[in-house]
Amino acid sequence: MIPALFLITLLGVPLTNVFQRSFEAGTSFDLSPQLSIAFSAAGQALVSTLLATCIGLPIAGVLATHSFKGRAFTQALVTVPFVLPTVVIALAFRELLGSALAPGFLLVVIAHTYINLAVIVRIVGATWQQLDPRKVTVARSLGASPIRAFMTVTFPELRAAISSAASVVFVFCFTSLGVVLVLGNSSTRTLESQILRETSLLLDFPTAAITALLQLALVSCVLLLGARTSLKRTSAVSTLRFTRLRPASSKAQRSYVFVIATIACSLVLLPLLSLAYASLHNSAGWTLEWWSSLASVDSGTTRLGSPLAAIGTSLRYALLTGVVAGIVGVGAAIGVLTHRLGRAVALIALAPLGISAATLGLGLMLAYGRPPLDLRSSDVLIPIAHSIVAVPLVIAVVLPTLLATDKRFAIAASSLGASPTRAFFTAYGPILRIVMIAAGGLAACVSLGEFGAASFLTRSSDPTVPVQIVRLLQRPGEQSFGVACALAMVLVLGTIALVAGIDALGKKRWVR
Amino acid sequence: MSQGLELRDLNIGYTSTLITANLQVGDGITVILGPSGCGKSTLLSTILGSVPALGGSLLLNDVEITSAPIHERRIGMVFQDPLLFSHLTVLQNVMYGLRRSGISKTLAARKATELLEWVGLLGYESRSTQELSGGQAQRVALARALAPEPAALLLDEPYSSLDAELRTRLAAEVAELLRSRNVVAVHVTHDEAEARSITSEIFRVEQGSLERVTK
Repeated sequence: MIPALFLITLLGVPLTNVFQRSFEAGTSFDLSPQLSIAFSAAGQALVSTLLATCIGLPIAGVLATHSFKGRAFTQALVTVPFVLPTVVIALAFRELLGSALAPGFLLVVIAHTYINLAVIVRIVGATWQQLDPRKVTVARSLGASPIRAFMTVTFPELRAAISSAASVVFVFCFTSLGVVLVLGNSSTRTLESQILRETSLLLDFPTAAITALLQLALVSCVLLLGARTSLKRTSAVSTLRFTRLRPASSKAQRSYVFVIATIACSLVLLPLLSLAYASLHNSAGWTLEWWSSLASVDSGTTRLGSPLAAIGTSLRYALLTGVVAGIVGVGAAIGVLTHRLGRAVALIALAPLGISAATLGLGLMLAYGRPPLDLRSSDVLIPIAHSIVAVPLVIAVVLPTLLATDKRFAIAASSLGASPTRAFFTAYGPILRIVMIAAGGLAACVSLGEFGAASFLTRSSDPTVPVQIVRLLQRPGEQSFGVACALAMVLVLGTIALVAGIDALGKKRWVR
Repeated sequence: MSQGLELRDLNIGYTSTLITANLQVGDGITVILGPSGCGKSTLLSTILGSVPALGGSLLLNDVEITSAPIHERRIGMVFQDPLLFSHLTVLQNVMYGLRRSGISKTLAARKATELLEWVGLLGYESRSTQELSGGQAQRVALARALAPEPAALLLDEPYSSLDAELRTRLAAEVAELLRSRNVVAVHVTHDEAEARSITSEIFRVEQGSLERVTK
């Protein structure tokens, strides 16, 4: 009941508001500017997806099929860009390539490729790891060269996973906001950035609502297409099995594994190291000035509160999001196991995956950000938005764990006289405690880096860290940029610490 | 000049030598017996080329192939599982090797159909591989391995996943089929009864080398 009420009130009502507001635009509304932006954003997303797939596939292949020293480290490192705030990554690329490349298409595509490498590596790698390597050996023994064997045997079996991962990456790039704002120009606008422009600059809410609905429709089409291709291909693929990782057997293979792993690690580390360098460097040389001015109200000349205050705000929101998304997400996952309507609630809870943060932010602002119910002055609107964004991830983490728990423990407890509730918690209680903390941590992680919804809902005097970073970057001067880099490094370190904590919890769970 | 496979002090293993093999396989089927984990499958993988030899040499029809890539060796292999390509039909599976050797699609289809008839599966051409029983799938795997006319065929416990009755019947049938096509074959098994039903050319893996089994 709690997850259902939460989602109906805080997702359903805002979306209905967006829908209603779109009618105010009138019947003579001209969609051509939005369609033009959608077209160019689709082109950018397509190139980014192709690049991420082409670079991600060899990395996925090496991590999924070979055991080698540093494999776990490489795998963890490749995942880092995905959990880092997009604004931080955009800033890192501005520092790394900003002097060589002007803001625009190329920089946006490079940053998107970087962020989404992890999606390709994780989704495709998971399937690749389950393919039987002996099929490739059979193909080779029948006269196929290594490339031919890959194209005729491995690739057809990976096609479903590649379609699925590519459609997710396309949607992420198509609805990008933080990267486009920091690294883009007028030709790289997305519908997401257009919604922000229409609401905050042009104050044209009906047009923003139509843009949000157009984006929702296009994103749904892409996700459905990806799911359809994926399902069609999966049915044609034989039963998958887990295979053991094997060390590279020949010198050529060892060299290939070494080169791919080295490239993967360098690709991930280079922008982050460049960001760290920028946070410790000014035009005169090495300095701690940007770090020491984090507490200053005037730092970066924002005069909108100190960066330290922004960190405090972000931490407060992250904590609230962790608690709210943890309870709602875990509640929805438990509902799937115990209630006949649980699956329907879980499906609704997964909907935010296809709803952009800007649409959500706009909807919440229209529903709860103005009289008679104006919650913008309170501390709850942003954590609510962040919780809605984080709930699908919480379900994705919690549900498989609960499903993998042996339900015969509950049956055994019932047979010993325990009530249904008591029997449930006897079976699932120990694992739920750990999983709830991990899920809450993940939700907090999402909140720390979320920019889209926060940019709509944040109060001007009390910004979150990603919003503060973008504000600093919009101001000229070395100090603004340096403080933004130091602030971004705080987010990098905070996010990595949170992810490492969640990972440690996961290991503890397996030790049990 | 010797025809067939020749293993000269071939060191088999991943990091350290499990078996040092000396073997001459002239014609017909040779069986290698041994318990699980003794290195039989690694021996076949080394002959096939998917695991590099740690030393020694391997000759096929008097040509050294110790370092040749798998796809240039002209050695076929049938594994414990059929490992059919599930995105291809039964006919396309058998055509796979023929197409790689540059044969036209029409000719490859004709040859593949002949092979399917030879293994008793005529009429199954357009079926999905998932519609086959274990025995049928293993016959398709055999037809597929033989289609490009390999110089030698390796069989790695190909019937171990089948029930005992089907295993004995299929082993005898396939041995007969291979003899009728004059295929040089090395068959690995841990089942001595199965080995004896196939051939009298039996070697056993003993203390890291291959010893001929006498009756």
